[in-house]
Amino acid sequence: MTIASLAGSARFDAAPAFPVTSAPVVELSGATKRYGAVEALRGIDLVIQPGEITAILGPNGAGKTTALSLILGLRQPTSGTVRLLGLPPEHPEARARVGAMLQESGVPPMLTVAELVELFSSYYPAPRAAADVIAAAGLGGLERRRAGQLSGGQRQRLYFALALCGDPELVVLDEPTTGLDVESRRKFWGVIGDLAAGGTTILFATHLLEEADALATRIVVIDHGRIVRDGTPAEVKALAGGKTIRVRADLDPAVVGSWPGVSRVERVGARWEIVTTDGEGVLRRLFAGTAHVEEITVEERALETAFLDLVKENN
Amino acid sequence: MTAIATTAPMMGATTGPRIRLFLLQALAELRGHLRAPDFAAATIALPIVLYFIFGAPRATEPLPGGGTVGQFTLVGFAIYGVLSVVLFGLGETVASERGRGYVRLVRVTPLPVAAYFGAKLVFAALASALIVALLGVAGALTGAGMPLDRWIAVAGLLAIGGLALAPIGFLVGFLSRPSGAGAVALLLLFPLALAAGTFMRIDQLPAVLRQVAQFTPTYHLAELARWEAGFSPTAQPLVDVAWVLAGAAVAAVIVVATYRRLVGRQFA
Repeated sequence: MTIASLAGSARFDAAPAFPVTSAPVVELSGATKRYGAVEALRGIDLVIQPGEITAILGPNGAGKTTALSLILGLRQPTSGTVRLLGLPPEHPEARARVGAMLQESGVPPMLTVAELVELFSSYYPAPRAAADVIAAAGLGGLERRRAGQLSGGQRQRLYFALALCGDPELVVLDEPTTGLDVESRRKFWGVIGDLAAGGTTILFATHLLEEADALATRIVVIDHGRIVRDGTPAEVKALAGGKTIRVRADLDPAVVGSWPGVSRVERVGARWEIVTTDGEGVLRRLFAGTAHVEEITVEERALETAFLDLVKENN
Repeated sequence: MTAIATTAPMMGATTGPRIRLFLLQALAELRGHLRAPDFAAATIALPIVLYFIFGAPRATEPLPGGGTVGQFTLVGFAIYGVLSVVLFGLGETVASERGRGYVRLVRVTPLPVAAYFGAKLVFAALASALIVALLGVAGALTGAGMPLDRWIAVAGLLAIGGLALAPIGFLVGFLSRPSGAGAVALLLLFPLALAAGTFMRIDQLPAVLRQVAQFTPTYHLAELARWEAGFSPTAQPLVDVAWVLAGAAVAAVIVVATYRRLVGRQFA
């Protein structure tokens, strides 16, 4: 522990209630997890530093939830080690400094929002003020509503509020917007964004590239229990995502295939399908040099398809 | 981020916050249950309704071994009430909270798991006392002739002694499927209540059942309650206490071992 590490964080200056460590927030090394014959994680090495907003991105069944369960000490790794704030994850002190929002955590439906926030706050040594938690989660006006009467979006924000009760240094969110409509999802992103702006370290799992892109400063792509990419959203999007342009045109696939950023040109029915990381550049060239350009559509590549490429590339 | 500066560190250090935490947890249990109409009806009201059907019409009739039919059935349905609290209020609730992922959410907080389950015991004791108190009122209204001080002693005995049955509830909660926990609870409720003499006197049971009944905790708890109520010629209080305590201790060890075995699977 150094003076510099203390000075680096206003939080510790204000409340030296916990030992200050310079350990990473999360540290997985060689972590594997096997359920019977299924290898859910096949050796994950991951270090997350304070202040990072990290998305664990992957298709369903990739091992995202298992990775978070190890980090939160809900499950033990089959091999390898897991450290949370430099401690074993199940250590009460690690638990006191972390907040989590899990998939499907049906709280007692008869308790109100305010009662649940009060209850969860009582679990922590230095809780955040209840009014503050409710405001941060966008639950103002719903304090007296019973959990069982909340809408899907409101319930997710209640779970988010419960994750904030302990004023955590790290917030872990597992698929936080699954099942939400577009509007609730955007509202939820706003709430997470505000938390990130306040300096809290955030780790969340998602299968939506759009969500990872909207919130994260770092995206860790996992598939079949392995990390296949780790980088900034721009890097990962360039590698994994890009755009698919569909067009009816007289073009030479060999020529188009040689344009910068184009990874594939393929005839599908009456149209060409061009996969590229530089959609604008390809469109400009298409209009400039090709006869009969008709019926153009441009779309962000679906993550599932992008994964197929990534995984193919890795094997 | 500013709130932290105003809150003193109290991590596990002082008893005050711990007691508050425990009380809040028990209060949450009580609120959750008493606000649920199905729980209030099936667990709190049913034993009283059953007493009115089976005990009240002949409440004042004396029994050969002492006491009245009213007194005998009051104790029987009190045990029935305590059993329902344990099997439904603990067992079915734990199974459902496990199934909904709530226990998992609690596990990632610093709340000790023992406090989470311990608060459920406080709830069970209070709900049991409430049922016995309501039965006492029903007995008084129907002339069962139960002296007040005796009945208060019975309420105390069953509120505390009912905790000896709690391990059965926790095992139902840990081991049964969330959607099947209610059925499992019901399957256990009937024989355990039969052994307590809830539906008919033990000495009227077939010989085999009478023998088997003596190995159940509810038989001994009922004997104790009737002894305390002042009309059990067969009770051997020390033997009964030993049975209840030993049974509870063994069951508690099984509960803890079961939780430890399942924690990484059923609660993760």
